[in-house]
Amino acid sequence: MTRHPLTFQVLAQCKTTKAKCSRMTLPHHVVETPVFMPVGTQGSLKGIVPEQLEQLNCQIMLGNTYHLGNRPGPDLLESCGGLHNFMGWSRNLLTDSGGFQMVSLLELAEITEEGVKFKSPYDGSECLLTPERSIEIQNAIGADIIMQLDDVVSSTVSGPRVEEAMHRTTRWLDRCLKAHKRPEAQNLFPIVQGGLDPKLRTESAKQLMDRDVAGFAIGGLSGGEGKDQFWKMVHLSTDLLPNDKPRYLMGVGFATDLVVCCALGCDMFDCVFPTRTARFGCALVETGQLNLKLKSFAQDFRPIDENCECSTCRRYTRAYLHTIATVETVACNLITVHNVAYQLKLMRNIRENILKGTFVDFIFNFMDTMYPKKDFPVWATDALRVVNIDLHERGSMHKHQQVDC
Amino acid sequence: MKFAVYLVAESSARLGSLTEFARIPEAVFETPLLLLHTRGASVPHLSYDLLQMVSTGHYMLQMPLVTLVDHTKNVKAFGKGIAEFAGLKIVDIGYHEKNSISPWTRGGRKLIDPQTYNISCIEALKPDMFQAIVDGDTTQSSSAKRVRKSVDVTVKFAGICADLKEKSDGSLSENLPRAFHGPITPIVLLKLVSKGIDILDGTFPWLVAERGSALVFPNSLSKENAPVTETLPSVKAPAVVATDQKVTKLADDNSNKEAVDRVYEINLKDKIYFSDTRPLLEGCSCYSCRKYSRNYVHHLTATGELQGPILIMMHNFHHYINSFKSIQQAIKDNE
Repeated sequence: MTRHPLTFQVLAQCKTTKAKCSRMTLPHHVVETPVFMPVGTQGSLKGIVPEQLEQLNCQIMLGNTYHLGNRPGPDLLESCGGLHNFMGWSRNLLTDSGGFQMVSLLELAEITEEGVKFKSPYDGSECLLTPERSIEIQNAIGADIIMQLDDVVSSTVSGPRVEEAMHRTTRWLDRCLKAHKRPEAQNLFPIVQGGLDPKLRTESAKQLMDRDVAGFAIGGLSGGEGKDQFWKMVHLSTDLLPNDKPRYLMGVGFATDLVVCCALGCDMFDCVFPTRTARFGCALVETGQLNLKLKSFAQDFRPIDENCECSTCRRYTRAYLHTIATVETVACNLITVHNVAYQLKLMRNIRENILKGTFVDFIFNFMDTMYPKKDFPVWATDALRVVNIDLHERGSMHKHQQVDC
Repeated sequence: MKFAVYLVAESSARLGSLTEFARIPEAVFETPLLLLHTRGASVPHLSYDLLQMVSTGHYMLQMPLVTLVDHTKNVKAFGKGIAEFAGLKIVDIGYHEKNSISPWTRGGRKLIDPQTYNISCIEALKPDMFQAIVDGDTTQSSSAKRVRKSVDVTVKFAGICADLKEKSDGSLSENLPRAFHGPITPIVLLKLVSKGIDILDGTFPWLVAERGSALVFPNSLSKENAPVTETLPSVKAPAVVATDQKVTKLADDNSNKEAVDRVYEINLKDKIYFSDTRPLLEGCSCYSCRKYSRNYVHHLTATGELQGPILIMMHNFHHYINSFKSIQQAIKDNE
């Protein structure tokens, strides 16, 4: 068994749910989990500088291999000593494999055993992204965690294609592991597939767990599937994957989803949602979103959130943001800072409550604040029930656990 | 507000100071003074935190009415003036407004006459200095008649504005500072200062940033003397502040003057910077130059990332502000 450049120490386990609070060390910085990772697609988090992210105590962020592999390209990044140096970010980076973007962005992406065949968006020539090439680019970028190239199938697809993709993902994992030139500096995570089929997902997890890796990702979800199927696959996956290695649920970022999936046992999350919605003038708050472009905010002289300590809320009002949202780029910076602060604060609250043994109460409070009319989403209620939380009859299940939690 | 000149150099360049502002009595602004350009009451691309990374000094901000006029009634409801409304409390303390009679805003054309200007705009926004509205609708190719009319209208408006101001609080400065508006390239900047202009607007660094370029002209004392190729418009000084405006088109001006001045900037969109590991300007101490290299900024501009304009703006402002400091020093040292 090789020594991976990652350690994962569980600090506290919730006695009611599957949530846990842990400490992960990576080459560039420590990461407290559960963690939300903002996405800086092309080598920057849109509209903010790395110092601002550090002030918010962001410990790890994402870059996209597909975009960076095109511009500026792996050769330049390698000559600069990697993306960390290029973008001036000294903490952790995670890169995805490029496969997902390819399949979702490109019209003529064709998947073969060799790799993903596509037409270059720049000159129309035929290109091929193989597991080897993806790892080569990710080695040049130099992120602390890199992802295998997986055979991505939309969660709305069913039938034999899903099984084919699941097996191919395992074969591609082995090719990725073989091609990985920097295992002492970068952790390669496999991605559990299998669509919405419990048997396939179980098989996928078992196969991947046979390989010597430092952590696991749960993929193929947060696409077009219904939430009621989504949570079941997450629950199944976390039951299978080992507890002493980080579990990364890809593409999840809405507040409710984060809370529920922490309860289901996930440790890492990423999503473009908070940064993207900021650019449209929407600020995240405990009760949902504020669309600051609405005229109702024109004379609202409060900050976005009176309890938020981010630099935007300490200095700017909703009314002022209303005047510049989507008009001046400064608005993008200001709202992005707040939204990232909101996400990171949510995760910090989750961690602290798990450590203190009060995670169950935290969930109740969170849900009551987000859904004041008690119209909790059905999927969330169902998911929490399997981890011993009943949102509607608070006393019943919780009482049995009171002594422990 | 008081303006005092305390040094006049051989060239007619002057050093002075603006003091005793009603709202912020302890503030002192040295002239020649750079007005930081703003849009929507913020420096373009730079929030308060980012501005602090460029400079923690005190600055006067120029707030073009056209970017604010849609919101004056909200600022009025706020009650504490535009500076605080825009989160600029404490550090950034003064501002100056410039506008034309019927500014085109996002909501369409709005008609502003001196009365409306005073009541709805000035009283709502509470600037420390404001400029009488002018008829600035002339270009290099306007007819003489149009120019004459614009000057007449301007003087008339200035008079009305001054009267209205006197009625409200009766304070007009005796010693009058001279202001010039419009984007000012480095050559023009030197010439204006040497003719005795005291207040100049800082639109130029922003315009350069908008086309993806970083200022690299030498901004310390060892400057070469550029030949005088154009004549300056004459400067009038009635009422509080008044100018003649030479309206220059944004960004895509192809006149000879601009071509000469392009030597003073580098365009980061150019592919030649793809693997250039030097800072934007060698020896520059701004955040962008200390931390990043041309190839990263090129990448940001090539991919349309918002961080591109931010880094370029931070550099351009830093550079332009420093050139003002050099100018002030040069006047003091009589160079």
